[in-house]
Amino acid sequence: MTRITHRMMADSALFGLQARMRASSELNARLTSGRAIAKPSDDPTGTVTALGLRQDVKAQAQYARNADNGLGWLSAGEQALRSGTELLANARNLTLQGMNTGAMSVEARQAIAVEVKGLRDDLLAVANSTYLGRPVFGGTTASPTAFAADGTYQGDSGTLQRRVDAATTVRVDTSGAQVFGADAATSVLSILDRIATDVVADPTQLNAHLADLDAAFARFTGAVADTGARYARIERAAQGIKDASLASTSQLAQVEEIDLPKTVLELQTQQVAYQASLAATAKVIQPTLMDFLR
Amino acid sequence: MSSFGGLSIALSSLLSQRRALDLTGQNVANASTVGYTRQRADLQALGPVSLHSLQGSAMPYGSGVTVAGIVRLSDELAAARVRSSTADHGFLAAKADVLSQVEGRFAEPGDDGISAALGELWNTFGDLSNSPDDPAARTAVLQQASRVVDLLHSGNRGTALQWDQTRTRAAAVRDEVNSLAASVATLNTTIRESNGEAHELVDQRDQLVLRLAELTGATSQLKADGTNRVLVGGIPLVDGDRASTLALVAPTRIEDVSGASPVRLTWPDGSAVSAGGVAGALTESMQTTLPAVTAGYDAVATALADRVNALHTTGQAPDGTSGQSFFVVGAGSSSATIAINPDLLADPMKLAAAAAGAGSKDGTLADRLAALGTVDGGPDQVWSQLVVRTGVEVKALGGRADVAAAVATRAQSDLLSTTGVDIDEEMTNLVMFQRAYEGAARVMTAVDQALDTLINRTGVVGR
Repeated sequence: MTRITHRMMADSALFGLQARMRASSELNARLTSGRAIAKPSDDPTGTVTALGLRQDVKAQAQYARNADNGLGWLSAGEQALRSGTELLANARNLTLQGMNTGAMSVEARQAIAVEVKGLRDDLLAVANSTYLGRPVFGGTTASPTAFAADGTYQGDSGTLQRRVDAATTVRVDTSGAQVFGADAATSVLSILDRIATDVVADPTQLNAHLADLDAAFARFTGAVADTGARYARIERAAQGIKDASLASTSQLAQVEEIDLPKTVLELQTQQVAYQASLAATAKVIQPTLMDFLR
Repeated sequence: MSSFGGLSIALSSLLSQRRALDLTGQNVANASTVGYTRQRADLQALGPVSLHSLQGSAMPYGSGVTVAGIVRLSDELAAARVRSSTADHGFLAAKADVLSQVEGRFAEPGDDGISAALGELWNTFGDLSNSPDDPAARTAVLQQASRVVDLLHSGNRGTALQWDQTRTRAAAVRDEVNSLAASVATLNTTIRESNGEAHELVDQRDQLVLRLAELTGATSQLKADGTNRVLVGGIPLVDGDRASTLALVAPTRIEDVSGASPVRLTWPDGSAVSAGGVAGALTESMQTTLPAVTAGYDAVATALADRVNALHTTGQAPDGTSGQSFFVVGAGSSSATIAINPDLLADPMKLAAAAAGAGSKDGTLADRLAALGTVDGGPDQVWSQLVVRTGVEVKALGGRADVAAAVATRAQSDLLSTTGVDIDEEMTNLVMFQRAYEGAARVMTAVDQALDTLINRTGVVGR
């Protein structure tokens, strides 16, 4: 039979009380910090998940910023293309008027020529529209404008891509060379130039110019549609990013943060157990034979 | 038999019971003394005195009682178990302590750790990809990269500092071990000279040996003359009255630790002490654990520098020059020497955001740099592996240390079961010895009265 001594009981009571205290203090620390994982050793597996989720949340924040930036670029491009389309429609009307050779005086033709020249300058301004100080149609060029005054394309063939998730990038610019024409001789600006000249000098040429103008018009409307489609794509992606970010954040909270009712309950249980062992210890340690010998 | 034989029997009882009472007093007085082993007076009946008397041969009964000896009720097996479990606990707790300090410096998972800083760095690359022409975006990249570099540096420095502190602690442990060993040897001398009477000194020695076990994992063997032999790794640290002196052989900086210049405690002849306990944990931490943490930081720094440089050097700056190294890493520990290329810091426009051959406002390369956060074997992954590995280790060590503590408590309890003072028992003894003393006094009175009858009342007929 094991002999039980008072020191033994005191030691084991102390050990038990210490263990209870430690458990209570850990739970208390969790409650006050609100975090289930304060350090990796609290839950190594949870830490892996938490680190991954934190990285996801950060990446998604960046994707959201990329998407916003892309939407800005696309709407700037779309705006410019729409005004370009309107200018071309005006030019087409003027050209049709100019083709009506019989009814117009030379003065009227000259007026048309001046107006077309004005439209050409407006179109150049549209072609050189900027977003955040950069030419919208210039690709990745270092030049401050996409087109020179004479209609020469100064941009490059580079494209602007915005990453909206780990695997997807969306192009957010429109190639000025494709829409307006890269070559000074064939670009839409030069068509307007030619119309302005020929409406006075040689109206018979206007028919051919009208065909060129229609082709350019088709390119513009095509580009507007394309831009709109990409805008919609980024918007959808942005919505997806928002959803994914929300999911990651709530998952992170699940992994990293405490379950409040559960932790409070555990703490309460620990405290009851602690008080019980205190009471038991007090009862067990106190009496000795001395209390009864007189 | 002599007429006064009865008196001397009563006297022997009075003396013996009083000694037993004294001893009970000593036990009660030390009921709460740590390491005290209870003692018991070994009472023994005295045999018949073999004197030839006129009546014939020896008396047919004994001649009283005597205290044959004071027995120290120890339990060497339980004591050995206490020592070995305390040594285990010392080893595991010290190791867990070292690693949990490392883990504390990680600050993970959180917003202040390397993981968060790396994430921010990739995001600034993302912003740079969106606006490669914006000087603010370039500055942001460099700022954030500096933050990552700072965190790597401080991680490296923190580990080095901890190594220094561990070295200081190991030196303190060595000093304590040496002084304990010397004290044990001194006590051994006294114990041998006391011929087994110095129980309190043996208790004291056992306490010192227990501390030695906790510090070095030492075991103890008793020798015939009451002295002991304290063995560390099978080699005697103390043998009777002779004690060895241990030395700590360690480089002065963590960088200098290697297989060729290991950290260890050595015997006077220069051979390594295979120590357990706290000393074993400290030397092992200095030799492998902490250098492994530095290597972990180095792996992150190297992965960061390699990955970023490999991409950045393929790119081109806005002025058309091709990208330089983004990070520069010096010789030695990469987490200590990693720095941002000073040329880039001096002129952020040298930062390459564009792919080679692309336009000056291209951001393709910056986008690829931004994607490095999720790449296999990238710095984020290496870092998270280090964090998780350390976390798992701390948890495992902490669990084992808790188990060892429970085992040590259990063993201590077993030991106390034999050696501890039980007040109830002492009270019972007290009553018993007191009654025996009273009884002996009564015997003496009875004999006295008998003698009184003989001496004073006989031969007075008719007086």
